[in-house]
Amino acid sequence: MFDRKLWRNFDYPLLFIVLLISAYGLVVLSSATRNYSADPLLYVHRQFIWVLAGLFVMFIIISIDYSNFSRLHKHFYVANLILLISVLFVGTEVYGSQRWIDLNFMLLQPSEFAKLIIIITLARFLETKEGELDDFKNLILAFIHVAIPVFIIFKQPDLGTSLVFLAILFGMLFLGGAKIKHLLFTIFSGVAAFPLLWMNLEEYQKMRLIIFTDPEIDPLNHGYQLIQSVIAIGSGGTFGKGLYQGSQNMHDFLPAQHTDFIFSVLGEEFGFIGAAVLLVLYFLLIYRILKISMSAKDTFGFLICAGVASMFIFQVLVNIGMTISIMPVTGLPLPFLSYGGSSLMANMLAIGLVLNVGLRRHKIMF
Amino acid sequence: MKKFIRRKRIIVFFLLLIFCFSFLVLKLFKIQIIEGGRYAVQAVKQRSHEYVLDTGRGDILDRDGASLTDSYRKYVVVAFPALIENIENTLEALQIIFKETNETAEIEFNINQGGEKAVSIASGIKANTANYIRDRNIPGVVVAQEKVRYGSDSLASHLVGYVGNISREELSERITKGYSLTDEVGISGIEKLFEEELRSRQPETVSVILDAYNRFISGLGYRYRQPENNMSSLNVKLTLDSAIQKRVEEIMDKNIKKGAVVVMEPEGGDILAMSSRPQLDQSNLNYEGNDFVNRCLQNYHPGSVFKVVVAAAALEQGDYNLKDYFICGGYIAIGTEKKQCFQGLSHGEITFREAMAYSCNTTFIDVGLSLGGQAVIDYAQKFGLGEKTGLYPLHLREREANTGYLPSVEEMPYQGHLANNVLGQDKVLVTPLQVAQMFSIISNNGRLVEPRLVMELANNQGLTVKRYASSMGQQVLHPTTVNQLKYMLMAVTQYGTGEEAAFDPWITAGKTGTAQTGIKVGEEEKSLSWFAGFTPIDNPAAVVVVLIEEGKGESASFVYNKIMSSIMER
Repeated sequence: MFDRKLWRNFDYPLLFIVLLISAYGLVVLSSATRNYSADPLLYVHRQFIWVLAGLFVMFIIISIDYSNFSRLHKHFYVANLILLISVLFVGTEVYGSQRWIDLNFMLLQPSEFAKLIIIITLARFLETKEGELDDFKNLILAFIHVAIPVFIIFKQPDLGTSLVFLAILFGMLFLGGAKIKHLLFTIFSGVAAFPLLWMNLEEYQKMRLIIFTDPEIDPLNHGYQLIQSVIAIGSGGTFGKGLYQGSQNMHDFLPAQHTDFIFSVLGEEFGFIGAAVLLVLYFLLIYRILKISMSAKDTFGFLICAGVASMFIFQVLVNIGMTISIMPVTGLPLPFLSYGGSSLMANMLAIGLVLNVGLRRHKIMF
Repeated sequence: MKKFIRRKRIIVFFLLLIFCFSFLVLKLFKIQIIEGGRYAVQAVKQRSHEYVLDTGRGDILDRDGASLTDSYRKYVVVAFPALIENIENTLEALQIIFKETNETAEIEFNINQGGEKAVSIASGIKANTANYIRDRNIPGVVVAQEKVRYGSDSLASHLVGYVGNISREELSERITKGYSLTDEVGISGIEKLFEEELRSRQPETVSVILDAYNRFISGLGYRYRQPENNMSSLNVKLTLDSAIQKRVEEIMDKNIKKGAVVVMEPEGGDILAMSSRPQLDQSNLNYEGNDFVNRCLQNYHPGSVFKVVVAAAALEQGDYNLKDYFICGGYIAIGTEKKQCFQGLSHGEITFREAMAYSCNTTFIDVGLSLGGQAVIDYAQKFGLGEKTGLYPLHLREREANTGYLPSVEEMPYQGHLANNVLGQDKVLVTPLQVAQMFSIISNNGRLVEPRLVMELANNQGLTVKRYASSMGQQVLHPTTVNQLKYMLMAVTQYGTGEEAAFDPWITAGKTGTAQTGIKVGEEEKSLSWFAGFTPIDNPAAVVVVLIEEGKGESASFVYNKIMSSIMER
């Protein structure tokens, strides 16, 4: 099942970058969660275990030839929907959203894994329609393919993750060769449909969008996160205040500082240099993924890489953009940095898929 | 073909990626490097809840280092709303204490007082109450001593000026020097002129540092922070003598509704007192009776005081002598016009000295006309009129706004004009300060000295940082002339118009003056009354100028007498 010779194709730089970002994340997390419990490293330990577990599942994924996933696409798609719907019934509610299933040892967030499944099933769908993507009908079908799980996630409600799906769809369509004209058309119709979206948003989601346009409207409540985050990052200056020295972080002025706003802690304590280093790491990560995509032996593999790259790019831009107030607050985690098992596992799995494609890049071995 | 499109799409995708990441980096560069300092300040500020006890602004002192503004400390009860869980309980606890100590101060507490992080809820409480509250340790409430800049015995208020909130225009001018909208700046007087030196560098505060949940940050309680020594602002030491200033103001309050008094030491030019009425209450700027004009530095007609200038010109330039005889018929004819002497009464046959003593208009017009306009103007200039006196230090010289006025010869085409100006009417204008400078020339044997108001800048340890030297002066009159003038001015107080100014055992030299203001109250035209002089006639203690625009029945000579005798009694 697993040919040792395949290791020659293994993309060590990509794995190395992932390990670097994860290690960086553990350091920042140790600061962000220092005052959370009696054991200052409790969260770091947990996250570290998730990193190890993530690496473990990553290697399991790598060991299975990805063409098997193509074969099982229908099962994947249905299982995905079942899992997402089940959240609505047996899910645990946190902060007013029902996104998690309590597995006793962890809160599983199916929507994190749903992203990967959609990447696989959509890649398969687009592969079968290869060369026919200029047919608008196929585009609509691709859209519906994604829209069904997105609708369920949107109802949880989880606007951020819903948007990640759309980013994945667009990235894969663009790289898959859909007509630019068609893509632009869908973007415009999306903008036109905004009022419809608006009506279906929860009050707090609307507020987030309003506050984004002017955080000072409500500095003590809804605008608070944004203002405090920008103060934290800005006050970090060039070199930062130093690990554990961030006053905004240490004195609880930052909201969700270990999850969605972990970049604020990084920006405050490591400054512009630390932030730039992280951005360079993300950039290299995506560069490696795109490089692997170009060497993929088939369109299915190529599109998997395209989907994973789109997912990471969108999450990095939206999360960091949110912390420096150029994007609205959507509650998206920062890949490999934000605390959270599901997200970390899903990201590791995504990397595993890409490594998998890279490993089996030659159509004919020997 | 398929591969080609894919490649092209990946390149475009990659370029978009670079673009987006660059944008993030640029935005981070902007907030962290360009605006980082501002955010750093904001981060500290939002944790600190602070009450300013003393802005740290420098003091304005008299020549011996005593505060001219009568600054004092009062007890205040400061509340930190973030630390108070239950306002009702806190207020009740305070009210019980106030009742027990019979405190008269009132508690005013509205938790949302402008969203302030620390507010004074009672001020001016008794020491006893203060100690009581301190012992009780009420959460979120502390007692501290706050500095009040202007007390009830504040002196020379017009000269010292006052502070107020910075205006938007001034802020835009001073913003590069680090001023902010909440700052107070000098609005007038010395407070304004020496704003940069007096400006508070670091306030004295009582503060607490709290985290986002309003908990004390571990290890830190209430902090009383004194400004560091090297951060203290400068004190401005004036030449004023607060004892004399105080006496002058008391005498003015009794006798003058509207007017000015300048007391100047004639050798070095030190201003010992300078006071204007109506009063300005710096601690209550909204009081409607406040008068913001420093009349010591305003332009007025000198009236007969100007005869001193004409006399000096006559003695030095003309062929005149104290014993020359003049005939006063009660008027003098100029062209077709008749100029009346004092109320049309005739002084008869009098000497030049007697003409000064009785302030005979006829004689001085006669002398002035024969000297000619130019000679009179020249001598007025020798006396420093029409020019800045040099009251302020060199770099602020231009800030002395009023310099009086001397007409040119062209402005007096007819003899009638010259006659009016010789009498200190028409065009010629002087400030009370200029008159003091003028009389100091006569009392110091002919030297024009610049008045000195600012003596030095000192730090809060009393060390002199900068000293402003007094001027050496410049000989402008011949000593013989000076002696003749003294002899004339002595007659004024011995048997002339200024008899009321004289007091035993000293001999006083001086000159009275009355000037029409052109302002009519009912039928009667309002007039100014002057007396300028010095006592004793040789080596005088001071030159004193009294100007009354609106009095309380006493003459300027009388007020001079009161002020000068109190100086001599010291």
